[in-house]
Amino acid sequence: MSTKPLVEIKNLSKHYRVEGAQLRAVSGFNLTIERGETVGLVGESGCGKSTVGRTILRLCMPTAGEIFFNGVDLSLLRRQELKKMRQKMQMVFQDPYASLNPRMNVQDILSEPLEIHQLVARRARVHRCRQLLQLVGLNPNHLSRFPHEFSGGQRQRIGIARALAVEPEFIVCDEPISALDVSIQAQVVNLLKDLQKKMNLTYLFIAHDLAMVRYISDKVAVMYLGQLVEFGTAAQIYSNPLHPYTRALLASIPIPDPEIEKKRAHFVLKGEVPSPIDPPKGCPFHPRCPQATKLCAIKRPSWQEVSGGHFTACHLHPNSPISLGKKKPQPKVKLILT
Amino acid sequence: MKNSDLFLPLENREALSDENGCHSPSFWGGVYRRLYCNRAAFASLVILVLLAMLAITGPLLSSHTYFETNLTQKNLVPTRDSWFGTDDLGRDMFTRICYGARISLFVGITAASIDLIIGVLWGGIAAFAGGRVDTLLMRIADILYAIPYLLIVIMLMVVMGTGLVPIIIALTITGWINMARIVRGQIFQLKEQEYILAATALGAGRRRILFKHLIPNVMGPIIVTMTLTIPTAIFTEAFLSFLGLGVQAPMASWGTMANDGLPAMRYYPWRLFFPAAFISITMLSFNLLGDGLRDALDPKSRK
Amino acid sequence: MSMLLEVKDLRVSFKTYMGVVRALRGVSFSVDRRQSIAIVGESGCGKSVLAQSLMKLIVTPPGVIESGQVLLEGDDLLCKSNKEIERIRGKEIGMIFQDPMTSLNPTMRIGKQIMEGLRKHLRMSRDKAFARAVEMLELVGISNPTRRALQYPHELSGGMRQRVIIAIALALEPKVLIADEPTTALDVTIQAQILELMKKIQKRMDTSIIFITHDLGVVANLCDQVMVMYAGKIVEKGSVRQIYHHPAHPYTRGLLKSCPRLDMDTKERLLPIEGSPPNLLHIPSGCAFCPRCSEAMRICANREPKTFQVSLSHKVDCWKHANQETI
Repeated sequence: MSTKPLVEIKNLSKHYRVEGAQLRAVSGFNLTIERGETVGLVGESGCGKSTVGRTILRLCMPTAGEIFFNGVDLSLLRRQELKKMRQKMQMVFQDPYASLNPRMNVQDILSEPLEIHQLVARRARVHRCRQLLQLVGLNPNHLSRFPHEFSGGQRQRIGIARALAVEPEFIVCDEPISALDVSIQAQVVNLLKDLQKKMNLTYLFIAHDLAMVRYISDKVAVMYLGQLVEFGTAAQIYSNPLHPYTRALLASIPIPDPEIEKKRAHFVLKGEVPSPIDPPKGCPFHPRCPQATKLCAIKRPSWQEVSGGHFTACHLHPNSPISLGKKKPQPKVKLILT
Repeated sequence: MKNSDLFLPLENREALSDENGCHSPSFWGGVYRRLYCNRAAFASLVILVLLAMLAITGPLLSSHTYFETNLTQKNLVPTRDSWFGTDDLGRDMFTRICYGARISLFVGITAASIDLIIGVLWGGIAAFAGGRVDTLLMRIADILYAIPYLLIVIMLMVVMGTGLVPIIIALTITGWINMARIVRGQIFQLKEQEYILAATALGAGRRRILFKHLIPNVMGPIIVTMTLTIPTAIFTEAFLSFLGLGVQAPMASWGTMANDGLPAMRYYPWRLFFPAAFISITMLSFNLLGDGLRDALDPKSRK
Repeated sequence: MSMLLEVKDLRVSFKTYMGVVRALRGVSFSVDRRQSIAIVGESGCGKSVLAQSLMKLIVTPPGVIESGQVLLEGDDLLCKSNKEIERIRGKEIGMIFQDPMTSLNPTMRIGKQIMEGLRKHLRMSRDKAFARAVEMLELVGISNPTRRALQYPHELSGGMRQRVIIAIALALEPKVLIADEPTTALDVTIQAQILELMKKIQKRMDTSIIFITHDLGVVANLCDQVMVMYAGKIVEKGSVRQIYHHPAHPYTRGLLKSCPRLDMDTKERLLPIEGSPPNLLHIPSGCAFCPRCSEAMRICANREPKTFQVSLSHKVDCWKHANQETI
C-alpha cells in the first residue's frame, strides 16, 4: 500500500488583496489524491474550490503552500519543465460556450495540443483528431465544424477530447456539468466514468451537485470559506457526515420523490454564505452553525481523523480514539495515510 | 399501412435525429445574413462597391482625361459628351471625379490600414502584458491624443510639403490611438474567457495565445472601427485639399474640386455639387456600413 | 366556478434571420385558486417563453403570438391593449425572475422598488407605501427591514435579493405568481431557505404559484401538480405523485432515470437520454421526442400524438397510451 499519491497538496493558501482587505480564497488546504481514483470537491459559491483546481494546474499562483505531482514540487519547475508537466495534467471547464475558441473549428481545437507538444507528425494529426472524436462519442466527420454548431453537451465532449489529446494522467473537472441540461449531464458523467476505466485516469471532480458527486466519486472533500471541513470516502461522507456543514448541505438537497420529501426532516441552514473577505475568526462556519459553542468562535478546530480515513475539523469531534492512539498530531497538518 | 402496423417499433430512429442534419452557417455567413437584413447597411455596401468600380474603371469609360484642358469647353453644363460638365479650365468633371474617387479611397484605406497595424499591435501588447507595460503604453497614447490634432497636421504639411504621402502620415499620426484603445479593451475582456485558460493549460505560450486566440476574436470590433475610420480619413484629406494643403493641380481630389467649385457656386453649381455630393455619400455609406457591421457582429444578436 | 387561469392552445413563434422558431406549439393547462403547479423542462422547451406569454411580455416583433387564449378569471389577456395589460401586470399576475443579480435596479433603493408597484396600482401615499414595503421585507424574512429598505441592491447577497424580488412580486397580492427558475442561480443552502419561504407564503396568502424549473427535486418539495414540457408542448401532466411514481411519457421516465439521487444505490448506473433536445427551427414531424425515444413506434415518426388519459387528472401526449382501435 505504499504507492506514492499522484497529487499532494500541502497547506495551500491563496489570498488576494482587495481594497485594503484580505480576500482569503483558500486557506491551509491539504489534500491527497491517489492514482486512479476520483476525488470530489464540493462546496458552495465562494468556498474556493475552483481556485484549488486552477492552482493545481498552475493557472493561478498560490500565495503559500506546495503542490506535488508524482512527487515533483510544481513551484520548482522552470518554464520548459512546466510545459512538459502540463501534458500530464489537464482541465475540463465549466462553460461549454466559453471554453472553446469560437473562431477555431474542431480540428484546430484538437490539433492545438498536438502541435504544442509535438506529439504527432503533421500528416497523422487529422487521423488522431478523428480518433479523439470517436473516443468521446462524437461523429468524426464533424472536424470542420465550429463550436456554435454543436449543442452544449457536445461542446463539453469536445473539451474533454481536447484534454485527452495530450494523454494526461490527471484531469481536474471544474464543474463540467453545471451548465448542461439534466438529461445531458448523465451522458457526460457516464462518459467521464468510462474514460477513466479505459485510460486509467485520475479525477478531481469539482462540483456543487452533491448527488452527482456521490455518483462519480470514490472520496469526497467538503470545503467552506476556503477551508477543508471534512474528507472521507463517499460512503462515509454521505451515510455518516460529521461536520455540521456537511450535514446541512445534505439536508438541503431536495430528492426527486414526493413521498420521501414529505417524510424527511427538513433542516434549513440560517444565514448567508459569508464573503471570503476577512472571514470570521475561529471556525469559519461558527456564525451559521446550529451547534456552535464558545470555543468555536475563538479557536480554529484542528484537522483530525475520526475513523479510518474519515477526517474533519470540528470541535465537536476532538480527541477521537484513533488520534489519541497515535503521536500527538501537529495542528493544521493532514495525516497522510500510506 | 394497417393500424396495427403503426404501433410496431420504429427502425432507423437515429436517422431522424438532427445531429447529422442542418449545417448552421459559419460565423461570417451569419454576419453576412444579418447585414443583408439591414437595408441601409446593405445599400451602403452596394454603393461602396459601385464606387470602387467607378474608381477603377470609370476613366476608361470616358473619352476624356483628367488633366487635358480645353478652354473652349470651359464651364459646360452636364451634357451627353461630358456627363458631369466641365470645370474652369475645360477639364471633364466626370473623369476628375473618378480620379478623385481613387485618391479618396486610396488615402482612406491606406490610412485606416496603417492605423490598424499600429493600433492592434500597440493595444494587443498593452492588454496582454498588463501591469506596468500596459500603463506605460497607454499613457503615451493618452499624451499623443491630447495634442490638438489639426495643429499637428498643418505643421506637418508645412514641414513636409504637400502631396499624398504627407497627408497619409498626418492622418496616421494620431489615428491609431482609437484602434489601440478598442483592441486593448476587447482583449482585456477576452483574457478572462475560459478558452484562453484552456490554451494556457494545454501549454500554449504567450505569443500563440495572443495571435491565435485573442486577436482573431477581436476581429469584429477591429473591422467596425476600421470601417468608421475611413470616412474620417477621407474627409480630412478632402478638407486639407480644400484648404489648399492637399494634392496639387492638376491632380484631382474631391477636396480640390470643391475648392475650385466654391467661388463659382452661383453660376456653375454643378462644379461644387458633384464633388460635395460624392464626399457626402461616401462618408455616409461607410458610416452606415460600419453601424450595420457593428450590429451584425454583436454577440447578443447571434442567437 | 371557473378556473383562475386557463391557457388554451397557446402558439407562439419567433421570426429570426435563420427562419421561424416555433417556441410554443399548442400549450393548454389550467391553474386553480391556491394551487401550485410546476412546469418542468430543459433548456429550449419553451417554459420561459410560456411564462412571458402569460403576461404578454413577448417582444413583438420578432415574437408572434399566433393563436390561443390566456384567460384570467374568464378574461382573455392576449386581447388586451397595452394600457389594460399594464394594469394587470403586477397587480393580478406577479413574476419572479431567475437571476437575482440583474433583476433589481442597481440605482434604486430596495424600499423604493417595492413601493413603485404599490404607488402605481394602489395609489398609496409615500408613507403608507413605505410602511407596507417594510412589512413585506419582514414577511420574506429579511432582518432589520427598515434599515434594509434604504439600502441598494449591491449591498445585499444573492439570497436576500431573491427575497426582495419575492417581496416586490407579493406586495400587490397578485392572484397568480409566476416563478421562472427562482432558485437556479442560488447556492443549495440558500435555495432551501427560499423554498421554505415560498411554502410559508403559500400557506399565508391566497396566491397560486406557477413554478418553472428544470430541477425535479425542487418540484417534489413544493408543488401539487406537475406539467412536463418538451419542444414547445406539454407532454405530460398530473399530480406530483402520479408524475414521480407512475411517469407515463418516455421523456419523463428518462428524466427521472438520468437524475442522480442521494438515496440511490451507488452501483446503479445513471441512464441518460440519448441525443440532444431538438433544434426549434426544424422540429421533426410527428412526435418531437421520437428521435430520442427508445420506445418509439412507427406512428410516432408520422403523426403528432394526441392527448390520452392515463387516470383521473393524469394526461399524457404519447402514442403508447393510445387505444389502438380508435386511431
